[in-house]
Amino acid sequence: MLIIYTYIFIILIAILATVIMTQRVINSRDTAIDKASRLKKFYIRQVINRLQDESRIPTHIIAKSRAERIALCEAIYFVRSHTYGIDSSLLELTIDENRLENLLLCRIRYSTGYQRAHWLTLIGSIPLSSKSLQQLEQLSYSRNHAIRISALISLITATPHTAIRRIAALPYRFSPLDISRIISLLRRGIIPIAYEPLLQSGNFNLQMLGIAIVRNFGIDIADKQLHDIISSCSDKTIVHEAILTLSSLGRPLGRTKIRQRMNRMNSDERKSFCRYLAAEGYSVQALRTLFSEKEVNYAETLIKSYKRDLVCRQYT
Amino acid sequence: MHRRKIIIYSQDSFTAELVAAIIGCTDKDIIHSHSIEQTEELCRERDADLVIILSTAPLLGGRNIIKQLRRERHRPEIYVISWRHAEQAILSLLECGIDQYMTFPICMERLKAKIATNDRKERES
Repeated sequence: MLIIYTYIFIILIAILATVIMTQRVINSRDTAIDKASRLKKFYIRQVINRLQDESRIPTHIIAKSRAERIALCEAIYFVRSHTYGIDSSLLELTIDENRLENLLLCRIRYSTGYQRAHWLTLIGSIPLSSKSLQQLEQLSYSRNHAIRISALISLITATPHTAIRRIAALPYRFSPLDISRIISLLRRGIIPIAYEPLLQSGNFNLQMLGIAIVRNFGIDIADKQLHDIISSCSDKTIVHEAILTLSSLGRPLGRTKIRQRMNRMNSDERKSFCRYLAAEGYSVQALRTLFSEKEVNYAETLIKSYKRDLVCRQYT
Repeated sequence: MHRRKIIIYSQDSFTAELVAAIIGCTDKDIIHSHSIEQTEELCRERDADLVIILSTAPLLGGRNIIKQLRRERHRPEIYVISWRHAEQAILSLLECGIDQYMTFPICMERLKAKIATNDRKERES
C-alpha cells in the first residue's frame, strides 16, 4: 500500500514539475517575442528617421547584438515593403556598419525550409554583392518552392533589369501567390508595368504575370490582347485567367470566341464562372449570352439571395 | 500652440509605428488604438483632429464607423490607408465619408504632404 502511495506521489510531483517547466518556457518565449517586437519598432522609427533626415551628416543606427541586427534587418524589410520611392542609398551606411549582408548570408546558409525562405525574403531589401547574387541564383532553382520563389524575388529586387529574362527561364510554373508577390514589386516601382510584351510572349509565367498586371492595375485598353489570348491560347489556366480578368474589368463577354471557349468547358467550370460573373455584377441578360437557361436561373437565384443583398447594402 | 491629436487605428502595431514615424511627432500627439471601439472612445475623449485607419475591414463590416467617429459637432478628418486596391471598394469608402484613401505601399513624402495640408487647413479655419 505504501509503495502505491509513493508511486502516486512521485507521479504527481513529476506532473507538477512538467507544468511549471512548460509555463516557464512559455513565459520566456513571450518575453523574447516582446523584446523582439520592441526592438523592431525601435528600428522602424530609426530607419524612417534616417530616410527623412535631410542633414548632410548621417545619423548612425547601431545594432550590436545578433537580436538587434536581426530586428534591424526586419525593420528595413518592413519599411521597404510598405513604402515606395525611398532613396535606399541612405541606408547603405547602416547596412555596411552593421554587417547585415553577412548576417543574412550566414542565416541563409545554416537554415532550411521556411526559415531559409524568410531570410531570403529579408536579404532582398538590402543592396547585394556579387557573392550574394550568386548564392541567390543557385537557390532560385531549389526544390523547395518557398525557397526558390523567395530567392527569385530577392534577385529581381536586386537586379530589376534582369527580371523578365529570369522569369522566362524558370523551369516551374508560378502559383497565384507567387504572382501576387511579383505584383507587389511592381507596386513599389521596382519593375516597369510593361504588360504588352508579357501578354504576347508564349511563356506561361510571363503571360500570367501580364494578365495579373492588367487585372491589378485595371488596364481596360488591354481588352484586345486578352481576347487574342482567349481565342488562340491552348493553355486552359491562362484562358481562364484571361476571362476572369476581362470580367473583373467589367468588359463585355458576349463575343463568339469567348462563347466558343465557354462551351468547351465542363459543367463545374461553367458553374464557377457563372457564380463569379454574377458576383461581379453582370446582368442576367449578359449572362444569357454565355450560359444555358438552367445556369442563368442559378445566377439569378444568387443575385436575388439575401447574401447579395447584404453585400450591396454594406457598400451603400 | 495647439498640438494636433492624431489617432492611428491598426491591429498591427508595426504598421501603426511606421505611419506614426512617417508623420513625425514633434508637434503632434499620436495615439495608437488597437480596436475600433477604442478608436471611437479615444476620438470622443480626446477631440482628435485626425483619425488614420489602417484597415478597410471595420468600415466594410456593416457598422457606420464614420458616423460614430464624427458624433455631435466634432468632425475629425478620416484617412484610410490599406492594401486594398479594388476601385469599387475605394469608391465605396469615399462615398461612406472618408476624406482620403491611400494604398500601401505608400510614398512617405505624399503622406507627409497630405498631413501638412490638413494641418494648414485646420489652422486657417
